[in-house]
Amino acid sequence: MTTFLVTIGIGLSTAAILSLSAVAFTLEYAVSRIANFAHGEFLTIGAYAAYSGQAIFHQNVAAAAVIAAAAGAAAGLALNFGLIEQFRGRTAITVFIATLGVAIIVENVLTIIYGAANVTYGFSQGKLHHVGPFLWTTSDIEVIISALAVAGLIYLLLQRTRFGKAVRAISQDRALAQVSGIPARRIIMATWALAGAVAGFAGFVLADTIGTFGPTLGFSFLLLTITATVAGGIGRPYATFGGALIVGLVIQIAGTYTSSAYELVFAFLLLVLLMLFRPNGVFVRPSAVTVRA
Amino acid sequence: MYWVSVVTEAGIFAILALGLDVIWGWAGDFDLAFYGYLALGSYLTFVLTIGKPTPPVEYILGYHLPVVLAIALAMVAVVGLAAVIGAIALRNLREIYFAVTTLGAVSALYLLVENYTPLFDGYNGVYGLINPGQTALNLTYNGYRIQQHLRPVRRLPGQCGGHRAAGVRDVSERAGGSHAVASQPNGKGCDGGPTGRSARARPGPGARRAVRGDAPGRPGRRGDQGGEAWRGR
Repeated sequence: MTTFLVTIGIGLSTAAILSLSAVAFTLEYAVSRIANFAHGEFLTIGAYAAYSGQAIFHQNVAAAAVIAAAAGAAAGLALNFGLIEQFRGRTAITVFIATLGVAIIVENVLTIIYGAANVTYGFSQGKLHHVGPFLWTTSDIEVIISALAVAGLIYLLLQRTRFGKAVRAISQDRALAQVSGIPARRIIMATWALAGAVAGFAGFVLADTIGTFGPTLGFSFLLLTITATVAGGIGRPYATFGGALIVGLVIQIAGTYTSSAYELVFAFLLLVLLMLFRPNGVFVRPSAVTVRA
Repeated sequence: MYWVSVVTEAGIFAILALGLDVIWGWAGDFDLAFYGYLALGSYLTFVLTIGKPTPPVEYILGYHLPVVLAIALAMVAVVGLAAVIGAIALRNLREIYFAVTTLGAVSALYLLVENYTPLFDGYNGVYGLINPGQTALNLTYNGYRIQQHLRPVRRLPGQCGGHRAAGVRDVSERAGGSHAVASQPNGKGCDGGPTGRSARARPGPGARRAVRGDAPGRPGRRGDQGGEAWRGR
């Protein structure tokens, strides 16, 4: 029973990181209608930027997190400006292959710069805390709180600001939003910057939680991200948090009772089940909406 | 010598491209699990021909079958895997959903092979695959005399089943079925094809020998022809 509760605790912290990554992925999908396979690279870039920055800022966790988010935002802007907007109007598969190419390029450039060997942050994980039935380190608690904070901020941004209204309009119909006077290009740029920042931050907390990381950090997390996004319903930012919770708990529980090496296998099984029975997310009845493909 | 290895590799990629062309070009589905089929095919050929493993190394089966039979069995197994993945991914998923599902499948396969050592010795990998051309066909880097023993493979994808596949793609793209009714190139019909549709997409013994035996550059050109059979119309 104790093992199970500890597992749930770890699952919650995994879900927190996953929700950050997945909400960024779904925001990208919502405004540009593409599945960004270079999304994992935003995480990797964030993680490595924080790694480069930690020496300058003397092991300050907050500064490292800000650097990670800034680097992710820059990567998001660059990808949207350099690739996604240039490929607008092409088929989804074309853009998909282009982003896959970017992912491979970024991964290899990072290998050139930092080497293929894993690197480690010098941050302490903090003491163990018993919170209710769960057992968390200080950094686990920080991760969960920051994920909740980001969720709250994104909610406020999307629901209570002009920017959020514009994003929602564009996600429904870009052309219609544009003729209504919304500067679609600028709003999409800003959304990619926001998504990149969230993903960069997610990359930093992911790397910090795992302990060591290499250039493949983000890409190996991509499948989990996509599974969480599909579980929530692709393009639906709020439901994504629920999807991340489900995926985080399922893989952690399944991984604990078999082997953590097979986590992604369970993620794939979950993805297949979702694709077959709930392609629009677990929070929508299967008959309610048709698949957007 | 160096160029021989380059051309050999080009031939292998040409075969792969032919297979991908069937799934992607004709049927219109971008199957990311495709390189997983390649991996499984080579692993299975290995364990079927190489014999029992010596203790620190472990892998399944470990038979001493003739190479051609091993390749045939590996093909059957890979067709099975492709059928399973296809049965899942093709149910009602198109475009991105299809690509994501196949990516998931191949990632799962990759992790399974990597971490479950009794299967194919995990991370360490296996080596020492028999080169079938070397002994059976007296095929060496120094000479391509073998060419005269082989007839070039003319029956390629694009001549029968291919039109049906292109039809599937066109219907699913709602782009009209004009491609699908293009006439047969070379006036050859569908009957008498030596292998099934799926088998032709994969590196079979015939195709493999032909590529090894052919003049440089030939496989690539053939690959293009296969595609243009319907694209030209």
